[in-house]
Amino acid sequence: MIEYDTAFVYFRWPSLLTSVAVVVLQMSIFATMGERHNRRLLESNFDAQQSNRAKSAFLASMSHEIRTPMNGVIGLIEMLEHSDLNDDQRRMLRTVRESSFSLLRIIDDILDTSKIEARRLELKPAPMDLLALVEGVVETMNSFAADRNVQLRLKFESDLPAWITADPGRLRQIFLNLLSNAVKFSSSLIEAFDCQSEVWASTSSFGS
Amino acid sequence: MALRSFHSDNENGSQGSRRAQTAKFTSAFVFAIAVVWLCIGVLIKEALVSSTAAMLMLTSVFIYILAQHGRDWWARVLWIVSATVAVLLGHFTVHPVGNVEVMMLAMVGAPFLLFSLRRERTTVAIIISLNIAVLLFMLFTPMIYLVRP
Repeated sequence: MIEYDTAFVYFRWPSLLTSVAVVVLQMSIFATMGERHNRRLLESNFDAQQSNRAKSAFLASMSHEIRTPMNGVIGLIEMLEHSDLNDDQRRMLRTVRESSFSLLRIIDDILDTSKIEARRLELKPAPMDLLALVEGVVETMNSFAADRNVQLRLKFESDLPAWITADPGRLRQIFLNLLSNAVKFSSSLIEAFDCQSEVWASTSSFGS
Repeated sequence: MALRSFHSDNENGSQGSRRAQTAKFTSAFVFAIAVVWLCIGVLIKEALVSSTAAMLMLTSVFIYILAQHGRDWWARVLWIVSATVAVLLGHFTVHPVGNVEVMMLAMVGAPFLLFSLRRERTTVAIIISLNIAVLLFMLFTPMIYLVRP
């Protein structure tokens, strides 16, 4: 057995130094691991962003490539509508037309999403007639609402400006989506498209 | 064997190789420390200290070989066990003034060094519990020392 004197002289400091060495080793390895972990996280984040950009680019390109022939299909449908068709053919052509437009809308939505993700969505503000736009939206949605037994009512406050500067295409898209969702998820019979000066575009449901 | 079921010896991807590298590096570190203690053992002519240090050196070589062959889980466990046994032997051999308990205190943190807290939580918990139990045993059993007053 190692007695007091020997332990005091030969063990006291080597034991402490061994302990300190083990603790220093632990800390240095933890620090290295943390650094590597952070580096890996940054690399993963960069890879994810790259993949997302590639996905957006692919979607944008694919949507664009599909949109071009779709426009040809819609053009030909419109030409066919002006030709001599019987009732059955006209009904079928209407279905084809509606399906084509709905497909085109989906493609446009994908294209818009890709543009938003790529931060390339550009707004084109121009002076526009707000009342005419809102009326057009309600008119467009009327048949869709009627199919779902929802009656649309437009309220346009007199103090709203007639002309505003905005991107008419995007504003129409916003109103259409808003109203379409309001009609789709409405349990009431009346859906009001209420244009006010404070919250100048809102939809509200009234109890049936 | 229940512990082994939590992971494979050679974990997938960079994590596995990183752990194996840690096992190899720490075995080299223990080897260097063991050489110092072997010298101290020879200097004070204490066969037990020399043989403990020699045992640690041999174990370190074995750990290195295990890690080299992808058995890094076994290498890491052997590292912890051999170091704990060496410190425990020191406790039974050296007078308390030798601060052997401090080495055991440093050993309590060693599982964090060698095992993944995410994938090997059970192993870490068991080894830390054992190390704390050994440390408490060392702190509260001073009458075991067979030294002259």
